[in-house]
Amino acid sequence: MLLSVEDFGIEFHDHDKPERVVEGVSFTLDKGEILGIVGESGSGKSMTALAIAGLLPRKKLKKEGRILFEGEDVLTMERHKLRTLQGDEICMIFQEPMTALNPTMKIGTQVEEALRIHHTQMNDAARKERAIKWLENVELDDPERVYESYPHQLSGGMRQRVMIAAAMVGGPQLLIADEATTALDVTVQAQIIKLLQKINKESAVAILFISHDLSLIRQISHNVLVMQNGHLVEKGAVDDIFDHPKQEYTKKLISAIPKVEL
Amino acid sequence: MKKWFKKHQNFNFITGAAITGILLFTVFVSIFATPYDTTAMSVADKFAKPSFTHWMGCDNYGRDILSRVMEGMGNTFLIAVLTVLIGTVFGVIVGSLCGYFGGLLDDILMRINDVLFSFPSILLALVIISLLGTGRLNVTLALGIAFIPSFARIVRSEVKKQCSLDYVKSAALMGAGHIRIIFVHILPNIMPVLLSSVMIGFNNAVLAEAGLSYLGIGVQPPAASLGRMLSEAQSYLFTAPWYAIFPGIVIVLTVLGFALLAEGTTEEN
Amino acid sequence: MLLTLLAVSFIVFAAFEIIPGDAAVSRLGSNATKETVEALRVQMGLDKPFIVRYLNWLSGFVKGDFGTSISYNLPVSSMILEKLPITVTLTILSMIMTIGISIPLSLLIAKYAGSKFDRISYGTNQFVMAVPSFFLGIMMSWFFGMVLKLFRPGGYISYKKDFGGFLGYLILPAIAIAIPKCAMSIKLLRSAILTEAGKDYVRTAYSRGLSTMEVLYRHVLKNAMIPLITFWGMAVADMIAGSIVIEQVFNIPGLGRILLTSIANRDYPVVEAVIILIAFVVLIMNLVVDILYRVVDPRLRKD
Repeated sequence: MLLSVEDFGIEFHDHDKPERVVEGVSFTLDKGEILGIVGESGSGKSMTALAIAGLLPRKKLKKEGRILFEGEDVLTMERHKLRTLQGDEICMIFQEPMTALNPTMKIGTQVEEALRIHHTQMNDAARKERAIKWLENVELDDPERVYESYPHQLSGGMRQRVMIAAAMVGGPQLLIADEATTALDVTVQAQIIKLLQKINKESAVAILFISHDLSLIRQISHNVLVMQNGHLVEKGAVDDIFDHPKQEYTKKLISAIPKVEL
Repeated sequence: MKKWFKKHQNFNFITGAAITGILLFTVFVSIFATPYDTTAMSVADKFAKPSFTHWMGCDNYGRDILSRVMEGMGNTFLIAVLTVLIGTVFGVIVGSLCGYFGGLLDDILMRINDVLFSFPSILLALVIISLLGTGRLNVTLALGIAFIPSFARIVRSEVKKQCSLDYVKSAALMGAGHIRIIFVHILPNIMPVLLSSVMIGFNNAVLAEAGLSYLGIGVQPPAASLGRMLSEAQSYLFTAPWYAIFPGIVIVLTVLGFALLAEGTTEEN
Repeated sequence: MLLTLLAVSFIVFAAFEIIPGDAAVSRLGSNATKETVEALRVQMGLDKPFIVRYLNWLSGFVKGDFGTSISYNLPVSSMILEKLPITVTLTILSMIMTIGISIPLSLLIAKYAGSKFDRISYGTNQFVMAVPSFFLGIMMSWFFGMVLKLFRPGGYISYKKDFGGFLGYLILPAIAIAIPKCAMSIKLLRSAILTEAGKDYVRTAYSRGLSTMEVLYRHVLKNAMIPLITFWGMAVADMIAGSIVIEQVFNIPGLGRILLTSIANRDYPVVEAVIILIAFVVLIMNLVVDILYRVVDPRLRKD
């Protein structure tokens, strides 16, 4: 077992009244597993993902429960220890590939950054070789040229591939994809999904795939979590959930999928 | 965060208003009376230390520094207000015409304006003074002219922005003339921006006037001016440091008060 | 740009032509005879029409001949060349200080945004911005010169004699020019850093395991500096103007001193030359700013 979330909850304290956004969420994730989290916006799925990646702000926020990554609690871990996990063991890609890359830094530098921080013994040539290899792995044409480019010279789909390369370059155990395909158009979406599946098979990286889009979740996930208003509604294997939903909410969500054969 | 921010901006505005209010009140009083005659010399009081009789001490001629600071403040305020007035009026005219009509006139005027704008205003004023000669009136004129480009630039870009909005088009459709559109429809809408740049402009004018007077080309003696007092005080720094400190502090407070006011009003918008 | 410079030179020349007073008379004094005045007028080329004189003046400029000073009877170019290094050094020193101090300080303030430290530095900044640099200069020469006795006011050392001593003397004046600019820079840079810090790529950087300081320094700073480039470009021109006053405070015989004495003596060839020179610097700075934008922001580069 790679990740174990136990009775996790978040309470915001930035207004006069505390506000609960996530409550009592428990689930586990095995090595090499693809776990889909589905839910409407505001269901707390992104908050949970950010918490696992250690990216929640530390102020004005109360966290409950435990998030054990390889047996250690990410929530109570000291920050410098957490940083050794981030980018090396736990990586994350985001919704907006347009803004998630630094506009004034070369792609190559950004892809290599995780190596620069976590694998300090690597020399420049080895780093570059690894970065180029990953740009190739994410099926970008002409990786040498992409390596020397700036983000504005690439399309949205290419940038998301770059994000994946930058996340995977350190050889992580867990890749969190938070609505990673939402901002892309449908054909590119399908390509990215295929790419993630390929990477999952080849590198045995576990993927936490978060989306509001059930058909994508069905396509990629092994297991699924359904979230609503900060609560975990249902969890199970992907076929069980889609063929025999137990909860009303899940049924409603599934019946809302447009019936198009993929 | 929001609450803190709100408290913060009020703090800016209130402090700024308080400082400016006190200074303005002092200037107002000085029009009618100062504690001592500003030009009365007294050998006995030469370099008198600050005391209850002379709050800010006396200068090298034994003149009461407080009285002279009060008069100097008045001069500084007057020059700064007139400067900003000249700058604003002409800046608004040039800027709104350029912004509204555009075209060749706009191109030419803005080209020149850009160069003048990047030219430091104190230098521009120096050049104009070298043409006109020194003195209070000339300094005001020179600074006023030097301030036109920055106002014209701001007004032009604001007018341009407003011109693309629908209400201007509908006013034109209803048959309003150009002049009416500019002055009745557009100008009131750019007031908030203009107001904050007027306050900042006022500060720059105070600083520039003080600088010019310090160089000896502003207000001419025996009239008092804060900048000139500083330059005179510099020769007596060792014997009478307060001679330099008090006029300087008054300049700092004037600028600070207006800066805080400007900060407070822009945050409110 | 050349066109703009040409326009400026024309305006400057025309402006000094309009002012009353005859250069030949002012050079010889009012009790000179008509004939000698007339002879000098011919010698100075004052008898020719306006446009011819402008073109002559301009072609001289291009060749590096700025005319002859009326009051010193020396070539303007050599007068300026001698003083130029002083003002240039002073400006460069203040610029280095401004950038060198404001960048680390704004990073630090931005790191602790919203804290007590942030509020204290905000207040200090507002206060410092209100202090005119010449008052600061006077206070500094009083404090360091008379209270601490670390510095000899008025003890200017020529750069020809002792460059180290010259630099040492310029440090306080440079600080006096730099501090108000620094405060302004910090204010702008702090808000630019905070704007950038809220962007998505910053979260990406954190997700790679960078510390706050690393994120600010490696990612945010470069992006936050983009809006500051224009300000710093204009600050150079402001510093040259500021040095006119500061040179007076610290008794430094630089370009500002020449300009002031020439204005007082109505020595127009010198005034014209100094102004054109500064206009030239201003235009060069505009060009530098443009180039810097392209260097820092790859989105503006043409492929």
